Amino acid sequence: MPMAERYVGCPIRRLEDTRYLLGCGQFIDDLRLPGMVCAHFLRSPHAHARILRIDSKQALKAPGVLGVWTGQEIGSKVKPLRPHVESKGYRASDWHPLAKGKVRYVGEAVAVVVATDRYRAEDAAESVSVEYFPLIPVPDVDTSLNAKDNAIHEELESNILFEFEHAGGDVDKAFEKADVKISRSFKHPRCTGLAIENRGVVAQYDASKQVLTVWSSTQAPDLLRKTVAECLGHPEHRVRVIAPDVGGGFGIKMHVFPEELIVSHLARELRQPVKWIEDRRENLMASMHARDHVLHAEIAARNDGTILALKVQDFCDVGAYSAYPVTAALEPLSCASVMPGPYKIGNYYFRSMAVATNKCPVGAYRGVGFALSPFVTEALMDLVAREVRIDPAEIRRRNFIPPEEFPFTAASGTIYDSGNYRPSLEQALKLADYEGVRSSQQQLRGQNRYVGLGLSSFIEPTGMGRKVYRRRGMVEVPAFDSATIKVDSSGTVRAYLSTPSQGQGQETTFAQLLAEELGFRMEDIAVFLGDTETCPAGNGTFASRSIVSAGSALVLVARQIRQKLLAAAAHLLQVPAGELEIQEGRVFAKARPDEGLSIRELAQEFHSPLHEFPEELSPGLEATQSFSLTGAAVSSGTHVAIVEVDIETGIVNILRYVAVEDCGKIINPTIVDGQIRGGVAQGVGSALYEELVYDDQGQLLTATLMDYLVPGSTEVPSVEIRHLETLSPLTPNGSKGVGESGIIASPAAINNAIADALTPFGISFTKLPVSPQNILDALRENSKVRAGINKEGQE
Amino acid sequence: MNLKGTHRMKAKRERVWVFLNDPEVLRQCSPGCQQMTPAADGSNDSYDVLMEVGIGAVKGRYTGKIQITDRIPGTQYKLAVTGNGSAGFLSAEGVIRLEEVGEETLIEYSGQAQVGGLIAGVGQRIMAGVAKQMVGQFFQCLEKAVLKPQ
Repeated sequence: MPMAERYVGCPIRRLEDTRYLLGCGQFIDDLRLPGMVCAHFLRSPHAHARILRIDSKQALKAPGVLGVWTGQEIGSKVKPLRPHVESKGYRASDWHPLAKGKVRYVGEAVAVVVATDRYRAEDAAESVSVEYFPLIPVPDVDTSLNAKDNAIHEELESNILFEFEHAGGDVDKAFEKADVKISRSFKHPRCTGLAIENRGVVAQYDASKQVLTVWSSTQAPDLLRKTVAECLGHPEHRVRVIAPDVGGGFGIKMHVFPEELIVSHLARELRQPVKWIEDRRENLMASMHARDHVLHAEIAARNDGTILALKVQDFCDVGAYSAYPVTAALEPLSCASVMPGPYKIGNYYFRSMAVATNKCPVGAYRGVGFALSPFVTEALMDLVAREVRIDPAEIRRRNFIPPEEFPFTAASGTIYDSGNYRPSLEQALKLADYEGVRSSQQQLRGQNRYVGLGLSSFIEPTGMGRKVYRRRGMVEVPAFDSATIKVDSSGTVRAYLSTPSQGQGQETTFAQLLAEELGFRMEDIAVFLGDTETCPAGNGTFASRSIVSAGSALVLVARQIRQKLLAAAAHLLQVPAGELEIQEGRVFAKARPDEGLSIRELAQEFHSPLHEFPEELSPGLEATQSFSLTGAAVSSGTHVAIVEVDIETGIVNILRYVAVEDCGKIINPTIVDGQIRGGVAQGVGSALYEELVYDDQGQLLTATLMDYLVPGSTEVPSVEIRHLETLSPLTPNGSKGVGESGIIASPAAINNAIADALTPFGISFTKLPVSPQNILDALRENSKVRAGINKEGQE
Repeated sequence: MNLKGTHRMKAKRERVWVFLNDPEVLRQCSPGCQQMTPAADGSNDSYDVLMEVGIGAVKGRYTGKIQITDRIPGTQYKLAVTGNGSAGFLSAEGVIRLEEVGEETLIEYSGQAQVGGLIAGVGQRIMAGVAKQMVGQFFQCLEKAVLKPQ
């Protein structure tokens, strides 16, 4: 009898939504502890300056103030963050949680004021006087590379924090043989994740047990615990980290931040709970930025459209510090590992420099590095297609890695576990009515309407395991996850996992997975996340790994407990275990489904001395399993954007948006679709709106949501989603991750659609965001050139 | 950000010069200036100031210095203003030059201003307008003082 799939694959309503909708969520700011005081950080208005003197005498006299701390005082008690990458191209540097001697970006924390409430702390901070000696700011990569006597970190011999080179195949030879060579420079702006809930941290010290408890809006509680212990010199077994409800992480909250260390330290020093909640201005200028690449790319192809080689030189502006734990190496390495995307490109060269500047540090943000791949490669595919006069869909078909070649080792060194790329393209074309759009496009141009269609085929390596991180040299990321389950005497079960939820419905998905694997009812399952005291060790929630990594651990541990339950039932029912089935909380012989035991009865037996089980069945029904993929489960898909460009206003209107995705086994389709829609929304931001702008003095000009433009509900298209399920051989149930595909694929789909719409003008963009201003400028430039040509012609 | 402009006054150059060098006039006419006292470090032509300036939505208090240097009597001087406060910092430096045009005086000014921190992040976009307005207010106030019958 095949196992009934009652839970996996079903669009079950999210269990956590009840509490969110009723306003009962418990976020950091909802925490109220007796005697709790508030911290406020004083931040540098200078991009690059020496700190000459800090005078806090006035502030200390202000009402309600408990103290003011600067880098001088804290420095001897809290060690700096010093993330490490095992690579000779990496230059490690210290990030002092409060600036010591020098500030390196606008917004860097210089002092912290603690008062009985936030208002008093902020008011008192106004009277702290800091005397700076401004240094010449290093506002961009070019200045930084040429700044011989203007080091951002004096102890380093260069402002290049990370450099590396990768060569696969023979790129030069391939370029020699090529019929077509195209090169372009691409620029992806600096942007950020912009979670609805800003960062926040509360810390409390229990002097009787010497336990420091840190509540933080974090994606990685274990990493935070380890770092708090190390930097504060506090024994790790006496540090507890709790991530309660978190209102969005998007990679930004996977880092360990200076504020988390300072607040933890102050709670221990003051013996009073201390709270800090980030405001939106701090969030925009001093949490974590992302991307900021300039990539010079060259592609070589034959006349039949076969791509022979890809060569990329990348400059990433990583800001003032290497973020912990990912470092300045994260963007370049992620980018390099996926640049060829779903295509079989035998010859590949990638060189990258991550360069320090006087800006906010760059770290992880959904689609880190990966999002650059379609933006560059898919634009180049379209350019090659045009050059060799092959349809853009056809050139993709001709270059996809064929399904029979998986597992596939790419020239990038990345191993693709499984995939089947053509079906997603075909389905996307059909759904988008590719031929129909092509024919109506001509007609519309006659009416002065410019409609374009853009394709974006992509890959998304998910749930990367230890081997992948080791290869990258990112030795501070644990790269495994764990699950514990505990069946109690009433036959209900508690599950604990190492990946805390950021709002993506993990309590539901994990419960579904467990119900399916154990054969229990969902209402008998409770999922607990985000507490290092109760949850087993692991990586945390990032790089699309919760289902792939922690979910796999959960499947394995469920199967272990299921075996034990079956063995016990076999003993009690006197039926061989192989003939038994567990469904809906009942265990029974497959031949006699009406007889048998409830899980409750069975669990009771396990917790009672009355019954004697065979010796091989130990008492208790609890177990833990950890899991690390042997590589990465590579998801894939094709997105299609159909846009209309208004050439009078430069406004881009997304008419339709199609996403065909393949993330292996789907647990909850509604939640998966939510991930895709959310990712597309953020990708629309990258493509059309979002850019963190600094001036030439290193001053951030987009420090409010008036200036940092993000798409609202009216700008985000309705996404038509279809799924394929190519199972991963690396996970026990074939699942792959899906957290980032939306933002990886969509900027390229939209950008290519804009280029397609503007084909009559020969305009395409290699710099995001494609703002109305950029479109109008390009059209104006184009009409000038045309006017010039016409004039020449007349002469 | 560059600041540059002219202002014409119906007064003799010598008289304008006197007023431009009167600390009390400078105090009264610098927009937002709350206090201006001779510098605590005792340096000449240097004043400690307390300013309250609003740039768009960002109203801030700044403590800083006003310093006059490179003086060519009756003709020109260099004026430097710096301020630090909770909303960031501002600094400006420029040359003010007087030219006699018949019975009138043409004041030419040119210099640069810079802001940092919150005022840059929130107010940069409207900075040029605000600076122009403040310079305008300064010269109008100065003109009023100059033209006031003794």
